[in-house]
Parts: sequence; C-alpha cells; structure tokens
Amino acid sequence: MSRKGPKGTKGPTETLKKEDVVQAVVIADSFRTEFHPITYSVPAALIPVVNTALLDYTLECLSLSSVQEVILFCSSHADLIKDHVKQSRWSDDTSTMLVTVIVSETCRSLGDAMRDLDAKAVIRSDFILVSGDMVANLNLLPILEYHRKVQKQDKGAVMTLVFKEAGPGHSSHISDKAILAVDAVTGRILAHKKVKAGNKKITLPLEIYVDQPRVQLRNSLLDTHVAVCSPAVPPLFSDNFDFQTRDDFVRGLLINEEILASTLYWYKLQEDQYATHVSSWKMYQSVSRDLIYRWVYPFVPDAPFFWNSEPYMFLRHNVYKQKSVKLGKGCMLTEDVVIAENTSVEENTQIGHSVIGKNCHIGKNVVIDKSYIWDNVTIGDNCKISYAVIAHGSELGMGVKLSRGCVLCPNVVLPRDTNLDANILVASDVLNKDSFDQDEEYKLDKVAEKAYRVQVLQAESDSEDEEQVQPLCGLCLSEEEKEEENESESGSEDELSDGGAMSERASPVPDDTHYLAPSDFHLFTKLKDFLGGTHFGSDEELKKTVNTWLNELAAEEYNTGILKLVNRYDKLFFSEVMDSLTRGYEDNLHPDNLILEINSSRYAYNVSMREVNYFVVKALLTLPIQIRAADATPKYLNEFNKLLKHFLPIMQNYVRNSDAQQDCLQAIEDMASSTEVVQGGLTKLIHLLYDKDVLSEENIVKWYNNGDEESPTASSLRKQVSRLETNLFCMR
Amino acid sequence: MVREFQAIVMAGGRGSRMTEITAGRPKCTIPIGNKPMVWYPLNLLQRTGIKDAILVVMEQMKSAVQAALEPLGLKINVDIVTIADEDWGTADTLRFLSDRIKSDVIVVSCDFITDMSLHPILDLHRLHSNGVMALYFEPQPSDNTLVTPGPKSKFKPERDLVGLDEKTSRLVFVGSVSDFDSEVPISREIMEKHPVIDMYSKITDAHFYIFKKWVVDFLVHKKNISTLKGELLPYLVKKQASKRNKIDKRAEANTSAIDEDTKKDIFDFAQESYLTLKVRNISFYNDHKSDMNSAYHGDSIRCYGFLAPSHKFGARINTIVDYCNINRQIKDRWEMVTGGVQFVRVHSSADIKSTQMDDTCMVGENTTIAEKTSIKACIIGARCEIESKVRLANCILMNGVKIREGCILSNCVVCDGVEICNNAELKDCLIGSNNVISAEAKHTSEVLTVPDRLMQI
Repeated sequence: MSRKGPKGTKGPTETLKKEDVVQAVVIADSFRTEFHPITYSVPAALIPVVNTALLDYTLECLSLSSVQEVILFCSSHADLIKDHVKQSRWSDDTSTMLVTVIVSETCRSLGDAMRDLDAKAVIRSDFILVSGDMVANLNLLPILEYHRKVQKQDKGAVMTLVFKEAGPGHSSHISDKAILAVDAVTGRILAHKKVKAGNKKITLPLEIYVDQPRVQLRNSLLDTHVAVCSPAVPPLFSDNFDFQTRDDFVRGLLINEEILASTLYWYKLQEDQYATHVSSWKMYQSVSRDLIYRWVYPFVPDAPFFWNSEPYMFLRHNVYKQKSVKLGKGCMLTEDVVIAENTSVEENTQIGHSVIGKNCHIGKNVVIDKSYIWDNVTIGDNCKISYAVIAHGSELGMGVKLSRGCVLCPNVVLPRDTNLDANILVASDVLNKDSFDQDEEYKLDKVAEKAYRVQVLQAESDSEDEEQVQPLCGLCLSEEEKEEENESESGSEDELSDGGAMSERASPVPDDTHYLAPSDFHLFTKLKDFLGGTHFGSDEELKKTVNTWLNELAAEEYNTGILKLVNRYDKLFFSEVMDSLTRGYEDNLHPDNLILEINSSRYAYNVSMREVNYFVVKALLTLPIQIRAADATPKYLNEFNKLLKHFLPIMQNYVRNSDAQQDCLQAIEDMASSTEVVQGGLTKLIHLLYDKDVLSEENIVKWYNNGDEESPTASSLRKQVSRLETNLFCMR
Repeated sequence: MVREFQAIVMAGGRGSRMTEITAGRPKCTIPIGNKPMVWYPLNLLQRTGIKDAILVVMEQMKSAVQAALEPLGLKINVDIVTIADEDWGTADTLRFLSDRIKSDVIVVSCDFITDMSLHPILDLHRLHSNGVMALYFEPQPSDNTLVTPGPKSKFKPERDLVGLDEKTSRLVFVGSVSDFDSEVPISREIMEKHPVIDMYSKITDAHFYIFKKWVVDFLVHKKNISTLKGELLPYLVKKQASKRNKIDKRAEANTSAIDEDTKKDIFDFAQESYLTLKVRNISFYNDHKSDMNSAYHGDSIRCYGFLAPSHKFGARINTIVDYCNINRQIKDRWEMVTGGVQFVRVHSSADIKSTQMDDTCMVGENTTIAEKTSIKACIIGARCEIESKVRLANCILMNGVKIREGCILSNCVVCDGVEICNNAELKDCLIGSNNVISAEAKHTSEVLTVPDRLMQI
C-alpha cells in the first residue's frame, strides 16, 4: 500500500504487450461550477477529502493499476497543482509512474483539453481517461484489456465507459442520472439518456430496439467518469469542435454513428470495486462517508498511503486519529470521526460524523456534527457546527452557529456569536473578479470584516442544465435532502408562473411572441391578480367564481382590452415594416416588391391607410439608427439621404395626398420629439423631403400652424423650423 | 372438485394465414407428422398433468374435429365447446367460457408445438404472478435454403417489442413494433422499479397464457376487450404500474352517480387473499434489491413473461412456411415434442411394395404404395394410394391422396382427397383438398385449388 505498493504490482503489465506504456490522462479541472466560490482559491482537484487531496486518490489509484505515464492536464490554478505534484512522491526518483503536467490556461472544457492533447500529439496508444477528482480502488488493467478485446471485434470501438451498478435508490445517484441502453450481447452502448427531474417518460428511438435482438435498459448505473479511450478519441474531439464535455462526445457519437464510424462500449465494475468522482458537495459528503466506512479499501484513512503524514489510529466506532492529536477532558468523539495531526480539541467538546484537518484548534463545549473542517482552522468556545464545510485558515469566534450546509471559504473570520443558517456561503474579502466566470453574478453581503455572504444573483444563462441552477448549495444529505428537493421543485414552479415577467425584458427590437403571449392579454393578468393565492375545492367552484368575476367586470374593461389589442397590432405591424425595409435595404430588393410586402402586412394586421403612411415614414426614419447605427445628427442625415435614394419610390408611393403628407409630418414630429438625433436635423429633414417633392409647402405650413401650442415639445420643434417656414412663406 | 388449473385450447381459428391448405376443414385437424395439429397441445397438457381441457371450435367444425380426435386415444378429458360467431376474438371466447372457469386458466393455441416442459412456467406463475403469464420463444433457427411450396411471397411477421425485468422476468412492456413511429416511450416509474430491463424485438409470443381466475371475472366486467394478445395483455401490463389509491378517490367522489357494479375497477378484481398479503408482510422475502420498498413494490397486478431457453423449441404453425418446416423437423423432434410417445414411422396397416423408400419417410395407416416407386423424405398420410413409377421427394401428402402412375412430385403439399392423374409433374406446389390434377399437367410454384372452394372463404 505504501511506496512499495506499485513495485509489487508488476504482474498484470506483463500480460500487455511489452512495448506498450500504459498511459492515463487526468483532467485536473472539472470545468464546472459546483464548488464555486471555493474553487476560486483552491483547484477542485486539490480539495481535501478526509484530509487528502482528491488528486492524490486519483494518482494513487492509477499507480496501483500499474499505469506508467500520467498526463496531468490543468487549466485553472495550474501553479498550485504543479507545486502539489512537485512535492508529492511522484516527483521522486524512485517513482514508477511518470507524471507530466500540461498546462493550458485557455482551456475551458474537456473538449478543449482533448483538442490540446491532439495538437501536442502525446497520446501513443489506448489510454485511460479520468478526472482529477476520482476516488476509486479499481484495477484499470482489466478494463484496458477488455477495451482491446472489444476493439478486435469492432474496429470502430473508441471508448469504453466504466459504470458501477447501484440501485435506483442509491444515495450516490445525486448527479448524472442517466439511462443507458446497451446491446446485451456485445455490450455496445446504443443510447445514453440523461434523466431530468420532470421527465415522466423516457423515449428512445425505435431502431435501436429493432436492430438488436436484445437491448438492455439500465437505470441503475453510476457513472464513474472513468473511461478507456482509443488514440482515435482526441482527433475526434478535434474534428468536432462542438464537443465540449464527455456527454457531448457520447451523444455526438451515438447520433452520428454512421458518419463518425465510432462506437462506445460499457464495462460494469465488479461489486467489490469502488469508483466515483467528487462532483458536488453532496458527493463530497457521500464519498467522505464511504472512505470512513472503509468501502474504498485499501483507501482508508488509517492506510499509510501518504508518505509524509504520520499514521492514523483506527479506533472503535470508526474514529481515526493521528498520534499528535490532543483531546481535552470530557471530549467526546462519538463515531465516524477523523482528526489529523497537531489538532487540539478542548474540554467537553463533542464531535461526530466529521472530518477535521491538521493544526486545527477547537475550543471548549463545541458541538461539531456532520461537518468537514480543513487545515489550520480555529474554532472558538461554545460553537455549534452542523452540516458545514470550513476551508483552511478560517477562524470562528466564540459561540458561532453554523447549520444546514454552510460553506466557509479559506481564511474567513467570523466574529463571536455569528449565526448562519441554510445554504449561505461566506467568502473572505471581495471575490477576485478576474477569476470570475462571466456567466455568474454574485452579490456580496458584508457580515464581518473578513466575512461576506455570497448570493447568486442570476442563475446560469443557459437554464437547460437544471443542476447548475443552485451551484452554491452545501451539504445537506440524509434527512434534509428531501426537504431541499421539495424546495427546488417549488422553485421551478415559481419560475414557470413567472414566465410572463421573464419576457418583459425583451430585446429593443419588438419580439412577436412578447406581444402575442396570451398571458400578456389584459384579462388574464387581471384574472391572475384576482385569483392569486386562493384555493378551490373543486372545478365547479372555480368555474363559478371566474364566471361571476367576468360578469361583474365593467364593460369598459373589455373595451380597453380590445383597444390594447389594436395597439399591439400596430406595434406588430410596425415591426413587420421594419423587417421588410431592413431586409429590402440589405438585399437591395426592388421597392415595388417591398410595397407589396408592406401592403400584405397591412391586411394581416388590419391597419388603416393613414396609419400605414405614418408607420412607413416612421420606419424609414428609424432605419438609419437601427441598421447604420447613426448616432450623431450629421451622420444621421447623411445616412438618411443614402437610404432615401433607394427608398424614395416607397415614400412617394405612400405619401401622395395632403392627408398622407400630414401623417408623414406627424411621424417626423413624433420621431423628433423622441429621438435627439432626428430632432437636431429636423429642419434639414423637412427641407430634404421638400426638395424631393415628397412634401408640399402648403402642407408644411399647415402642419406648422396646426401645432399644439400647449405641448412644449411641439412648440420647440416649430421654433426650430420657423426659419424654413418663413422662407417657404416668402416663396409663396 | 376444483383443480389448480383449467386448460382452454383455442381452435376456433380458420387458419387465415394458410388458406391454401386449410380451406374447407378445421385448421386444427391438418396433419403434422400424421397427427392432427391439435393433438400436440392436448398431449402437452396431458403430459403436464392437466386432467380437463376445453377445446373451443367453430360450430360447423365440431363433428370434423370430433372425428379427428377419436382415434388419438388421449387420456385428457376434452370438452368440445362450440362458438357460433366467427368474429369473436380470443378474449370474447374466454368471456363466453367464464361460467365454466373455476380456477386459474391456461390458454393455449391449437397450433402450438414445443419441446419445453410446462412446469417451470407453472411454477413461476404459482410463485409470483397475479395477472397473466406469457410465454416467449427466441427466434428458431430455420433452414433458409429450403423452398416453400406455392408462389413466392414476402411474408413479414409482425414483430413485438417485449420488455422483461432482467432478474425477476416481470413483464413490464409489451407493444408491437408497428405501434411506434420512431420513438418508444417508457415510463420513468417503470425504470425506477425495474433498473435493468431487457427489451426484445425478435422473440415470438407463443400465445400460451396463464391467467389468474380474477382476470376472467374482469373480462366479464370489461366488455370492450376482445383479444387476449392485442388488448388484454397490454392492458394488464400497463395497469401494473398504475396506483390504486388515485382511482379510489375518484370512485369515492362519484359514488352517488354511478352504480355499484360499473364503478369496480381492475384493482377490485386483482385483490390477493388476506393470508397471502399477511404472509408477504411478515416475510423477509423481497423480489428486488437496492431500494427499501416492499416486495413487488406493492404492486397487486403482476404480469410475468417466461422466455424459453434458446435451445428449446417452440413454434406456432400458422403459415405455410411454418407448416412445411415443422413437418420437415417433426421426425427429429418427435421424442422431445411429444414427451416420449412412441414414434410410428410406418403404420402397420400400410402396404408398401416400394424398394426405394428411405428412412426419413412417414406413412399412415391403410396406405398403399406400389412397386417401382421412389419416395424420399416424404410424409404420407392415411388411405393414400401411390401407383407405380411415381417419384416423390420432400412432399407432404395428407389423407386419401391418390397419385397415379408416372407422376413426379417434388416439394409439394398435397391436401386431403386429391387425385393426381398420370404423368403429372409438380414442383413446389400447393394442392388444395379434393382437387384433381389432370394427366400430363406440369406446374411449378403454384397453388392449385378447386376454385369454388376458395370462393366460399
């Protein structure tokens, strides 16, 4: 088990071809946000589980499987990982396993990593692909051999995925729940379907059933994230630049099986083998427990795996403690406790189901339950801590209470009597912005000088991935898990009912769906207000209430509703005209066709002729701003002039008689009063249209005189054009 | 006395998939290895220890079937029940027989032949089933090089999609491939209950079912189900997953409106006895691992599917292809298929003067075969007359066939009472009953039937 371990396991290598060096690729970055914000300062691969960094478990396991060469791929915190490897025994001269660190700062996903590997051409033969957060006691060689055997039968076999069987009720099924359809005879994977919480049915294509005599649907598998890959895998990633995650790869390969001519196989772990990866706090808790309960033997706390630490004593009730631990009088370690070296625990403190790191100091009368405390943590007297993760270097004053999944990032200092509950994250200082992921926004609440509460302001922009909606939740396994699930469920329902509000923040370009969304219709919003929060015993009751409400409603309500609808149609019509003109300009369409198009939209939305005139002019005036981004008056006029060259026939088609000219001027006035750019060039604009014979002087004068004296904007506009008006007047 | 099982042999069909040879006679009497087809399932039941069987036949066929059964010497009590309506489905028939059904019932089709023992199936039923038990066979290896007589037809059998729990053999999914467009939905709940499901698309349903007594009562209540395989089986399989309490609530709410009888739902029928439930509650037994639910997840309706081991033989004879295949194979399978009934290759009353007849031929009673004939791999029924200079190869001759001098037949099926006149040459033909083939006629890959007989059908 110790340093001597790997030397003794030469046997299996001989069964492989001599020239083969068993390669493994370890991706030491999850590229996920589950452990944010703790991973802003600690790489996911170096998070300690039962006082040992995850990466050490991964490397040990590979070494025990006689892997000779490890390519460790890191992107964020590469220096920390490098240091870690440098200090580990893998940098020793006696090491049987060569660990090469490859750093790619720009790498954002597994796909990028594989493409990078392909570019660097470091893969020589079949290799083992694992993530740096793997905890496993499996022997990988049989899987490698299985993969080679499969490859002899099926040349296209590129990847063998390793799964562990566990019933649907197993606690480790928290993340990555998936259904696998495999050919029962060959073990080929036919479909891999992620199961989402809401799905009641699982649909798989018919052909997978028809083509194989016997297809196994497996719902009981835990994805270990261990895979054996052919050298063809990195090039496949390079060829398909849209493959980001391993799931993308699997999905892409299954869908395009014929095109890519690649197949996937699965391998079921034996019952006594353990393999999982720590992908979330829940998994963290579950894996810690498994390690303490010795499921991952030989990886148990008391095994002398880790060369520079003193051995643990394994005591009754799964209590593990190192020699230098000092326990005060009346101190109780109930069960499932791990305490590392140089930690001192003072009198009458109770610790149960917890892991405590090195050099910690825990005060008197403290109660710690189901919590994970990393190195160098100081906990004051009378603290009560349950379901919490406290990262290294934190300090808790006296009487601090933490419960229900608190996560404390490194170096947090909590003053005395702080009481934190639920999934609150506390990070020290202002989070260093540069390492921020753009797609997440946090709000920081100051709790104390070196403690800030972190709240996620906005869920991930791509809300497809439901798991990522609450990346910041802490532990909370066992009894509280159910509660939380309920919460999240009700949360998603809220989201649904808020669908209307979501679409409010629509883009500046009018969005059809926004205007037509039924929930937006005035009656429904009113009805929603009226019905909000009430409960009904039966359908009948509900029907009755709604009917009486509808009857009581004043007739005006309906009128305004219909009027609003007209308004909405107008908006829609305007957006259609805009679309037509924009396209017409970009594709240089003939004005006659555009006129046809506009006229047909007019009938579709039942808009009167005068309104058409108004909207067409308005649209023409908006165009320079929309598509040419004219932000200053001279540029605007210039662009408008250019546009007019193309669109003059349209203008002339609509602005014919004096009524139409009035509409046109009205549109110009409206635009001018709302847009500064237009306002500045109003005189020139009207003059231009006058020059082009679109507007006649009578109508300009008429418009000038008709102005609403009371409205300040109208009069100011008129002041502007007064000179022009006088000129015109004189001409007459 | 109420026995554990009652058996029903469904022989009401007309053999609509092989009308060429079943025209004008009950399908269940066409001979296989010189025994009427229905003898095989009856023999199977008798071997299993079933004492009584109900044989369902069409009214007009009763006498013919009776006549065919008499000389067979079966010990099992065969009660022939006739049905009048031609359009009755199998479930309708079962409903019609409900008065006679006092216990769990085995329903078997008259065209079913297997070399499997029924005991493992009955045991699975006894242990777990509360609903229906179905029997499936892996695709049988068949010799594709052999030509089937008659015109070439592309026969596409309907394919089923069957899902069985890998460990418990629970039947969790049934459907026909043609029911689905491009995707097959499976309920998530089923996947949760049965973590590993084997989906089969190439196995065949043997049309052998064991129903609990309550299913028959339920059929009486639910009138709109008319077939067993197409409607009742999918219905029961689907109902396994539904929960009772939901329906209960609805029923309570509507008590006043609906009268007692119609509001009964399937779960009222599917109740298990108080003692059974009690025993299950006390027992540590569980049919599944990995979650904390009670045995069978508390399902009261439980359907099972028994997939026969791949080396076992099982077939339904409902097409010409099957019929020819089984006749070719019957000599080799006789021992296993019949459970050790003595194999009579050549009946003692047959009068055979031919010297060129090989060992693979079977000959029925009172058949005469003249000298200078060559007969290879043929099955020849009773009361046939084969004159001299006749050459037969790979032929199936039913009863009372007369083959005149100089005929050459190869790979033909010749039905009852056919007369083939001098020097006819037939290859790969089907000859319908009582037909007379004129002298010197030459036919290849044809169906030769008396026209007006076909018209009747």
